[in-house]
Amino acid sequence: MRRLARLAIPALSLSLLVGCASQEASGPSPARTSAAAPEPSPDPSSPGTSPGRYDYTFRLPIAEYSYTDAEYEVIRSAEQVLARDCMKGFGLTYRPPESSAPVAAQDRRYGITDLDSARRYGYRMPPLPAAPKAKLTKDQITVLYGKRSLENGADDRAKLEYRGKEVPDNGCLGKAILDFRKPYEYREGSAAASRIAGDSYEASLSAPKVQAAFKEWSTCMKQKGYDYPSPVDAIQSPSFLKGKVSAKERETAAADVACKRSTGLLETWFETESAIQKDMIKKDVTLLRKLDELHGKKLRAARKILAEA
Amino acid sequence: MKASRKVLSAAIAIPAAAVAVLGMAPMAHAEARATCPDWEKDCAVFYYNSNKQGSRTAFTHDGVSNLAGYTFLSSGAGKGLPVKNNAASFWNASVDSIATVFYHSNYDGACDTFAPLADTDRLAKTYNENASFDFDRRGDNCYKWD
Repeated sequence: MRRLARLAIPALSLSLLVGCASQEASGPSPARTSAAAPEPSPDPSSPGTSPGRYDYTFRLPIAEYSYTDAEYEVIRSAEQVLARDCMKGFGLTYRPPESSAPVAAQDRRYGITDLDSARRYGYRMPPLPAAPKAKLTKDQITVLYGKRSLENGADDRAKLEYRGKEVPDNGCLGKAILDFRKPYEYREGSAAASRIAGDSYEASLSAPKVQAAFKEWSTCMKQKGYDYPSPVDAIQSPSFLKGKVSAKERETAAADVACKRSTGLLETWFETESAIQKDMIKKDVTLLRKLDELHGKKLRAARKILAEA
Repeated sequence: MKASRKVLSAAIAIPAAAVAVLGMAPMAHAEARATCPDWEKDCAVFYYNSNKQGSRTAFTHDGVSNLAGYTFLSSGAGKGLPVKNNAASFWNASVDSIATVFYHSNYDGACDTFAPLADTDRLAKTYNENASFDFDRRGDNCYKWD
């Protein structure tokens, strides 16, 4: 099965490629576990390869047809190699930025699920470490980014040239991304997968089992002094979208997660949506298989680029 | 929430009242324009119609936790109408960053992540259900189809 093969991401070769020693050397930290479950998971799978207990999105059936974060990183690294080769054609060196360190997953498909995060950040997204950026000279920026390197307000009608050679509009990086995507692009397949993932979510919201679980959750919240019909309403409360996180928001968010756990809402929701997706997938399985095949081909091509870099 | 705020001009920078401040990166606030400026490496564009047609709004600098209050800015079908839950197609015009569109406000619910320079002719379930979006949301556990 392709998925199993794809799980063995050569993270090591990536870090070799980009000379990413600092993050690797910093020792174990929560940020290194891309699929970190907030609590010890009974699943002994190795971190960063398998979805954790609270990663609902990537345990749903449609996830089979999606790239993972780690796979996106492989593709991104390959694009950087292609960009580097393009830069060479302009007589410029280019050392791609380090790979981003994997971050703890924040799966909000069913709202917040991590008690620790709820207590610290309420309903807000936890802060992300800034992505590593390459240090570039002005010439490198011009060729790497093309017209995006222009100063605010510059005239962009003329073709951009570097030492007499025309620079691609999107620069070497943009060209690398677009050229590498083209042979593997399958818009119909992507559209079908995206539609299923959205439709199943929407259908789950009104499924009787999920509705009943929302009611139980709401009752649990009421007992703690909070009045929301569903977690979807709680997370979108206007006061939780602006200003600073208040103590009240943190308490509400913690109660939200606690009630999700005590009522079994998350499992119910996940099981219900899984069943909905399975039916939907059957109808579009031909498109989805082709999409999966192309994803596999693109990943193999990316790994080949990295191996030969 | 200044949900009723109207964007009056095509190239106006939106104050950040409705914008979540995210990340440890330098504080940035989303700006909305009719078109992605050349000098912005990260830009996310919502279109009123499918196939990247109709009026559009281009966001730079940061994500938006609630798209309420933003309207379609460029000339074309849908100009002046709300962006929130009203966009039919999307283009991540960023070269450096992924961009993710969420079904609900506050980055909640079903979501699709778009690779740099990827687009969709039709935002599937975020089709007319695009409530928030963000750049570079690594580890967001959203699907990546392209």
